[in-house]
Amino acid sequence: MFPYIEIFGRTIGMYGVLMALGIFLAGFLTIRYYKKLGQPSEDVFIVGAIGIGIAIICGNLLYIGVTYPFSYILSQIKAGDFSFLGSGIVFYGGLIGGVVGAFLGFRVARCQAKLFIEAAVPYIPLGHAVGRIGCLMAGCCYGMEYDGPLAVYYTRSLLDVSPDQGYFPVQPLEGAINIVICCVLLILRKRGRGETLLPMYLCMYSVSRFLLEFLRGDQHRGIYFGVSMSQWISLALFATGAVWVLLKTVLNRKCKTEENGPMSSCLPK
Amino acid sequence: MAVASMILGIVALVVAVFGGVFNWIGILIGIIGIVLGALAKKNTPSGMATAGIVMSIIATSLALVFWLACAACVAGTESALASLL
Repeated sequence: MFPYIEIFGRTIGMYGVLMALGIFLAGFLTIRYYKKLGQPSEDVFIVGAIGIGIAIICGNLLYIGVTYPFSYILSQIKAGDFSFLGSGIVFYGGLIGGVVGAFLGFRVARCQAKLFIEAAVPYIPLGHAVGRIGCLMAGCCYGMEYDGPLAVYYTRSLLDVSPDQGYFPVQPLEGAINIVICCVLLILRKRGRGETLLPMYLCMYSVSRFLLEFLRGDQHRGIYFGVSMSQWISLALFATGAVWVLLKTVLNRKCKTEENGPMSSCLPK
Repeated sequence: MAVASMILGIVALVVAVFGGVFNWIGILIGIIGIVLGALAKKNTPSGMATAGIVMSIIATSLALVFWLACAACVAGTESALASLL
């Protein structure tokens, strides 16, 4: 579509620009809410920097793992050619790495994880939606072949797609779904359900991603037993999120009904 | 820590602009600069700490954008490779 712009003779990829914009937007809104909670904005910089750094590394490693054969990676390393590093990012690798990085960031910043999660989680799908526009621009993460309404034709793509063939607009569709998820999470936060925002996001996004994978056309990402890597990860994350929400609901109900005796089964406030 | 953040921000900027396919190192250096600057500002607010954070954020953003621009070239190679395999 529109993968590059030229500024002062330097090629700038729109994928990177929109990814950075998505991160800035999510970060700005997180800082704004976090300060309303009476917390210092420096915590967002610390947790955000560590989380995003590890997210990029993990997202890239997962992309390399599902895209390149191991023999190719070894041959490139032996030849001293590391250009395959940074060739792409898988969102799930970034999400998992980001969550791990964020928990590390909580320790470095010595901040309250609960408040940070409440501030940041609703804006993750919003940033992701902006990033998906970058995918549309670059022509990556494209949909299956499709000639119906709103079909996308990649006249200038980074990948090996035919410019005469229409593709399903899966990137803007995922962007729109992410915006809906963001709105739902904001409503849940307003209703005081801050503790369940992260598992709810995992459940909602994993279901949408599992279904959207059937509309994807970039099969070189890795298919295992008829199911893509992202679909396998979706199943695992949905199970994690669902168990988390169930445990919180059961334990909170048990706390409310217990009248006497030790409250050891209750979650700390 | 504030001075270290500023220095790392400058180094990250140089690596981001001139690093080529290794400008992802600028991302890592910039992230360390952001963390050090934010910790310095949280403990002892100062103009130097703020400047370190700003410089590191700019450097990290540029490194990210330029790294993925390089990656875009590689993605085309990867796509051709996938069609051969």
